[in-house]
Amino acid sequence: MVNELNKKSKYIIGYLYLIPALVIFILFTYWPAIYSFYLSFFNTTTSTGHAIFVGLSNYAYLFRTGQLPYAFYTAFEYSLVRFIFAFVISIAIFAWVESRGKGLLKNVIPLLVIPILALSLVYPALSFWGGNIYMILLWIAFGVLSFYFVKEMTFLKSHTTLFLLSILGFYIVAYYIGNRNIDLYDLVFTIAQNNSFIMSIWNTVYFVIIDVPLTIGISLAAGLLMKNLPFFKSFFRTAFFAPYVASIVAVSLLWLWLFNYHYGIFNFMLSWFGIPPINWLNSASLTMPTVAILSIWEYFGYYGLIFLSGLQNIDQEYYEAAEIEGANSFQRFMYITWPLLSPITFFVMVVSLINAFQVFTQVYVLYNQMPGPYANSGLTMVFYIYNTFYNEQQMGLASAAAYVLLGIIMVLTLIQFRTTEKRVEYNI
Amino acid sequence: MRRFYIFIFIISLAAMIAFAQKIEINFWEGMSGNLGTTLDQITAMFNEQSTDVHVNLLYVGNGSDLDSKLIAAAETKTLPTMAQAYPTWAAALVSKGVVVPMDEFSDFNNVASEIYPAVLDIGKINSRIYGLPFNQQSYLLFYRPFMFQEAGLKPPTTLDELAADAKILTVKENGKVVRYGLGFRDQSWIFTVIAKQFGGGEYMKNGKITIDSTANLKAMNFLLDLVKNGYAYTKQGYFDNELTTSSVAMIIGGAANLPFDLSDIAGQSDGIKMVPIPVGPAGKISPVLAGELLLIFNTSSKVEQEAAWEYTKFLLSPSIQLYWAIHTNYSPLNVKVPTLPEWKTYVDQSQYGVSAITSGLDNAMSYAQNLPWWTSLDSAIGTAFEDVMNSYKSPQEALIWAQQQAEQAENMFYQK
Amino acid sequence: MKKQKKKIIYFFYYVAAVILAIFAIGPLVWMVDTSFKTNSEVLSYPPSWGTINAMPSRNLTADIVKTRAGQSSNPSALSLEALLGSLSTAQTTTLASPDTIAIHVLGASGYRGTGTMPRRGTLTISLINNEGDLASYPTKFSTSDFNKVVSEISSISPLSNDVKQSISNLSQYTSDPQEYILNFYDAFLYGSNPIFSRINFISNLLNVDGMSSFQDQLAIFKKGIGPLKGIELKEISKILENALNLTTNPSVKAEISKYLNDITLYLDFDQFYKAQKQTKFDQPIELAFIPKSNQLKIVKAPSIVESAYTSGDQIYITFNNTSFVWFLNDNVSVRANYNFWEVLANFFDNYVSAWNSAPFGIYYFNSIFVAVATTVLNIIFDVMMAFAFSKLTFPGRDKIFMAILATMMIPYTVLLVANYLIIHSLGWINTYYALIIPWSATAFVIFLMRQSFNSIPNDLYDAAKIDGASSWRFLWTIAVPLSMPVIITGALLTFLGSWNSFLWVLIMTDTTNMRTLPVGLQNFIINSGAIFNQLMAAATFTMIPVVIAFLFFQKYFVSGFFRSGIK
Repeated sequence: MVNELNKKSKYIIGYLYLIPALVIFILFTYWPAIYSFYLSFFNTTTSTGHAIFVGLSNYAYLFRTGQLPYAFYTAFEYSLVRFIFAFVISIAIFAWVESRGKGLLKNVIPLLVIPILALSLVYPALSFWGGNIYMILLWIAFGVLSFYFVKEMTFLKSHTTLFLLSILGFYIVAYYIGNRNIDLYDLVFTIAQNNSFIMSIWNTVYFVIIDVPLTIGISLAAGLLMKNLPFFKSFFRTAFFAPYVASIVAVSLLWLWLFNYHYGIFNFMLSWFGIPPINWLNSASLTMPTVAILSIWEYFGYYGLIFLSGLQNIDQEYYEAAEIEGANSFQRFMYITWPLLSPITFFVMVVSLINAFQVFTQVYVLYNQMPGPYANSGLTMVFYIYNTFYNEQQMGLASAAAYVLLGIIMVLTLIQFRTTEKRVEYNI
Repeated sequence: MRRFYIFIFIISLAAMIAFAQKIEINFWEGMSGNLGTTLDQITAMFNEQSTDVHVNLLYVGNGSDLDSKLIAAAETKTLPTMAQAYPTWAAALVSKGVVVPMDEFSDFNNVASEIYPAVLDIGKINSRIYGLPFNQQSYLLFYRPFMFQEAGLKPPTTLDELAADAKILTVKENGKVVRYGLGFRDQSWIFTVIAKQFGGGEYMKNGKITIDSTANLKAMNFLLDLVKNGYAYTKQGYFDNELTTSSVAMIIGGAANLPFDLSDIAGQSDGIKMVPIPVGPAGKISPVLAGELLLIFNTSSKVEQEAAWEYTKFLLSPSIQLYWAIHTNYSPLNVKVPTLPEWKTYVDQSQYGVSAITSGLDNAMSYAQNLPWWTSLDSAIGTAFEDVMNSYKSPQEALIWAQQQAEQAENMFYQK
Repeated sequence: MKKQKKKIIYFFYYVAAVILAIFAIGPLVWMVDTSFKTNSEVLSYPPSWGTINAMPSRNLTADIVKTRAGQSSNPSALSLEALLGSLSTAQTTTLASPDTIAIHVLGASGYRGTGTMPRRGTLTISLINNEGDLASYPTKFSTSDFNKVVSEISSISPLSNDVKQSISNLSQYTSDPQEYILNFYDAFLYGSNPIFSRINFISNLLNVDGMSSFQDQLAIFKKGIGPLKGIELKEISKILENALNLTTNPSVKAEISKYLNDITLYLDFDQFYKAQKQTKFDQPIELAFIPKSNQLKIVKAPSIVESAYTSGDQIYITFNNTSFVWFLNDNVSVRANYNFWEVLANFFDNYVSAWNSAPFGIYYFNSIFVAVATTVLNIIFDVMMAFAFSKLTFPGRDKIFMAILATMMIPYTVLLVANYLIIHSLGWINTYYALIIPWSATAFVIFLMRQSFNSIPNDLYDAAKIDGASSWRFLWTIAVPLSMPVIITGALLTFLGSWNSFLWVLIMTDTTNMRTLPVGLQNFIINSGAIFNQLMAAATFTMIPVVIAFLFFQKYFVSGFFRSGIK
């Protein structure tokens, strides 16, 4: 009885701590979010002046594919085939790594993949790419068999990211081997020409892939530097952090001049090295990289400072003990710094991903409130939402888009929590 | 009986006191910087002169910031008495039924008679005049006089001359262009300016969307040829850099750019001058205007609406339009202004060709039309224009694409 | 060996740090550099670090206003009251006195105080003739010479139609030589449609039959700045004489001789004009600005100069009984000189103008107040919540944490309108509450704190509980000090988030007295452009206090500062 009471009072104490912040969240985030979710089922701006209930049609509109070229089905086939190829090869490799020294049978089946692959490249009749149905069936058989072995694969489970990267890698290899026939990737691009929301997803993903790893890497380096420099620490810390302090409005104008094709300072400096000027702001393919440069400049000190605070949290005694034991700086980093920093590293990974997906201000100010120089190359998801909400006054549609964005970020964050947080050492 | 009279006297005294207090109205405006200062001065004078109205100017941000605030206020029914709004939001607000039609006021016709009819049309939504334009800038051709004189040229008056002049004025050194003949921003309104000269530029006619038309196609090709041949340079931002380094001879831009252009070239011996956009095959000066409408909202009381009307009349009076035009380079919308002697002196003394801001006003067209889905249409044209100028799409493809996008937006609006 | 290795490692650290530092503050240094420049220097190419504002003297580009109309006061210099006043009296604009010369300094007043000629210091003005010497003027005007030349040119015939027309127009001024001279040059050179405007004159010439063979020779003269000069006219007349000799057609001869006569007429008059100017300026004119006044003080000038004043972009100098018409064909050089204090004032001009263009004092106060209040509340509430997520147990803990995290994932542009609704219904529009309370809890800081609290060993908490400490006491006396660097960082980031917040402030406030610095910065960005140098100045003084505060509070970031005593 007493225990139950104790437990209940413990729970109540827990909830009490939550209350102040929770009230604010409910009032200013959850309630507007629910209202916005409600709006996403309406067409809010119509000739009647009232909002019209449209159910899921806003969401459907966001993902409309328009007139699908006949190529869609072909593209889907090719993509599927490439995926199977990549998957099987990756499984085979991982199985081989796993089963080294564990017996012949388990070694043989994965290794069979290699000669069959070689044969199919040499003899077109056996070719995988020709859509030869027997070959495809054979590959699927191998895939299934490999799954049988996957059950025992600890190596694969502990290196899931590597496995996924390997599939991606072989998929790309398959794309280039297979005469670059139309792929789902091309199809998405074609759809994006007519559906600006899909285009915005495309651009945002492109941005995230460039921005997040670089930001984490550079800010980690900055954080380490900020901690370990013997002299002028204050100066360097202030210098790294200063970009975040400056107002984005003034900064954006500044960067407009820096990036100017004819008269900008970057091209001016490039000319010292004989490099021809780069059309930073007027090229569709360079849009997201340029925005990424600006974003990294702004945020590396911000995240660097967070890393620094995490580094400061690590007890100096650990380092002193390590020094006595004769560890060099690399070992100190790998065995003390990196593990003890992992909570903060995890934080930076999650937060930088969330923020990167919401990139908007940089594009807005760098391109004169336009989504890029042309071809909507700078249209990111939040830009799409902002534009739809305020300029086109389609609040329902914008809310729907916002929820799609929320969904994507939420899924990715959950994946990060499920996979990576296990490896974070909380020193508990 | 006496008590009755005393009672009446006290009541009327109280009423007089109540009415003696000025009616305060809030005016949400988006005029920052120099525009804000000028509007402050004008409003201060109005408040001084008026015995029963006091106008509070509330700056709510430029462009889309003003829009955000208007949307939020419309949703929460907390609109002020008066606000500035771009045509598309004006149309959206009208369709929400919160705007008072200006033509309802008793002396509307007096005011309307003093404004260019073409300019009045800018405030027309569903055949009624809901808003009156107050700040409209005209798009003009800016040119550097010395560059023209050195080449022995007069500023172009027709589009063919424009193309020819652009060619002559382009200067190359070591194979690299150091001076372009013509510069223009690849924004939708610049396209509209040129398209108008070819007879296009009006994207809705008789209820049909007419983006994909021969006139518009001609305009696209005209500009694309200039860019491809290297005589014209197009970019997204303003031409401050190019003016400071004297690397462009002509620019198509809005009249309100003038003070900034002058800042860029301060200290150079070459100045800058404005002329109307060279005419197209039609041969008539057809300026394109851009700016905001004044709207009065019916969520305020009748008394407040009348007060706002008084203020509107003041803003559109000849003397105030003259002052406004002199200090901001927006076009004076009152037909009487060009007849004023002060205007004539101003024009005579001006080294910047300011008379161009009033030329052709009776044939003017607003670049933005009063359609709630205008922004979608506008961004479709803008994207199409950018794509063509950067050789990403052909003119025909781009126009067809823009037409489709606009039709989609229209359908969404008319969904039942 | 180890020491050497350490030194090499440190060297590489510094190289990396310097590269990153240049990347980080390079643009900002450029921003500060730009804030001192004049507007026309901001975008010059190749880019340069120096600015003319730091120089003790500068050359200003100027020219002489050549028409009477140009000299009169410009309506753009009038205030609203003055303009309305002049409109109501329907006065015709009075022209300036003929003894006053107007010198137009290009870009002097600029746009909102960004001009090339700040109103301080002294000006050295020299009127210079075409040969490069100081200009001359007449002390004795010979009326007889004037009458002689007038009758001479009246008798020249035949003339082209424009010239004939102009000469007959000029006849009304024969009694007023100075007006005559002014209108003469106006007709021929400086008016709105001058006879010797290059394009018109040469085109007319080339239209004459038979002149087309001289196309190449004459076309050169079409190109050039300003009207045809005396030397060029002499060359043209040589070509025309040549043409005259070569042609036999009498009507063509007549045409050509008309143009020849035009030129001869002009040159004759010009010669008379030049001959009158016998006295040369012996020294340049030195004027000084008087604060808060349009008048200019004469520091040193020849006796011919009586007074001077400035208005708008122009400097007006009034002469003693000498008309400005004698300087029509001259150039002017203006040099501004500043003493040490004035140079300093020039250098910081942009900062002063920027500060004055909006109530930055109020904005500063609001920014500081709102940011501090938000930070304090935010840290308290977030620490509480993070502690609960980290050390306390209750059902649904992790799910609620995920839900809190989700608040970071929805872009706030979408929530803005609904927030406006709520804030309005709470009656908080245009109050500090609207700026502080909604931001008193942020998922970012909660997440950050949770990570930090998670690193505190659970045993520590258990030990404290055994000692009888409540969770509250543990939180504030042990957990928080241990996580101080992270908390300080969270506080700093919250402070900055509030400091730089723009759209929220703009939407939730109506009046200036509630607004913050970022809104003030918008003042320099107008629909059609931006005032770069003042914007950079404003951005600098917005940024500097925070950077300085950051520098000072560095020591709190050092680990161990708060840890002492815990062990």
